[in-house]
Amino acid sequence: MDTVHDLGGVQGFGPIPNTDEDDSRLFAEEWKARIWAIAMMSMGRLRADDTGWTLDWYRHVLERLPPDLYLRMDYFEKWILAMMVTAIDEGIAEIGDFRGDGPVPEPFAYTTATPLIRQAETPGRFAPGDTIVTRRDLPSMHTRLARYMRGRRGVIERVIGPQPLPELAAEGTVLREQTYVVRFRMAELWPEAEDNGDSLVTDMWDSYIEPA
Amino acid sequence: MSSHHSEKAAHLHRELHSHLPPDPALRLKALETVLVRKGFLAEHAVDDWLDDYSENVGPMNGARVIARAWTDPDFAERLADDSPAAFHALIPTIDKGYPIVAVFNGPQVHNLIVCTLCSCYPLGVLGMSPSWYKSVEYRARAVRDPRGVLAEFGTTLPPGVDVRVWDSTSDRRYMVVPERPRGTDGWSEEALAALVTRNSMIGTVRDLSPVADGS
Repeated sequence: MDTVHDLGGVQGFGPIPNTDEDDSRLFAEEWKARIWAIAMMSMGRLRADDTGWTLDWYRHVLERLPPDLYLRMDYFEKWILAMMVTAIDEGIAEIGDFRGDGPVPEPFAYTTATPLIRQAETPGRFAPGDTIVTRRDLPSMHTRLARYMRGRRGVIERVIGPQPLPELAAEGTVLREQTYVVRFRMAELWPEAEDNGDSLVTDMWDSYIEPA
Repeated sequence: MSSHHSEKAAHLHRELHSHLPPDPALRLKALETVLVRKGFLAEHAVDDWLDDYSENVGPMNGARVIARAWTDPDFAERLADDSPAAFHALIPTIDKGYPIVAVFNGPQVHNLIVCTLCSCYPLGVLGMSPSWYKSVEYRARAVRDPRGVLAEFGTTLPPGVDVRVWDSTSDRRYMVVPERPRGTDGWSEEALAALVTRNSMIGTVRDLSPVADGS
């Protein structure tokens, strides 16, 4: 889905905020530290319990925030909502529990376990130095092929090993596919970029690219 | 169980947002209370987790590794070839499977890290990222106007230096290894590590010289 989370290259934003932020204080407020801890622990437990939860599914949950909230909410505020959605989706809690309008909740039980489907690894098609072109469209719920990288020519810089394909991982299927470091000249990506040595480098899955 | 149902997630966001008090601290409290009462999280688990995290994870880990790489060429080579192994060798509390990748600045190259699609960062090694790193402004602009972004951090690249912007899309997490600053011959690893800033490990700052230019 092409939602507002795909921000790379979107124009019209102002200066970067808080550029002089203090290094020594990792969390500005207590609630931010706590949502972080809760999320990390919850993810660990959902993985261990093999409920079908994946980081790509969680990313997609964040991507489904209403667009206006996505753009204006603090990072950690988004995580609070996404963790509540996760708890409800997994069968751990109900909306009313978070409103505090019912009796003290009972211990939870996952409704049904839907373990991840694991598929055989697929071989890679590319080698360092290959010129490639990225796919123009990927009709999927969740992707890590950003809009600004689509339909562009680049060069394979390194082969970096198989990783779960995000499109399928978000839907509960683990298919490990070869990934690559791909390099693009800035002038290939942006109409106003000077044709100099500046470049954009990113990791890409085999099915995101085709031979040029 | 995970439904992997996109529209259900969107619906739940809208329902929750319209029914909960706006204050995030209150929302957090509700979340934590429910997860503990349900038995999904153990009581005091959050405090224990945070104690452990603040003790073992933070920018100091990256600074130690970088200072070692500046003083030990064999270690620098190992860091370039197999970053997780190098991190684990120096800091055993870091899992050797942590998918960190060190990218090196040089006389002709400057690296800058961003995650345009969310805010990926080596959180398990360097701790929480700066708030600006997670801002929509940084995520939108770093890939399109990296030199303009650098200027807002007071960083101007010398002529002949190319920018390499790394957009984090996969499970790998990047960290920039800045160049060893001038004027630090004979410095101890500890003193060198103290020069390394969080921003320099993302690449918004390039020059870590302890003395001002021209002195």
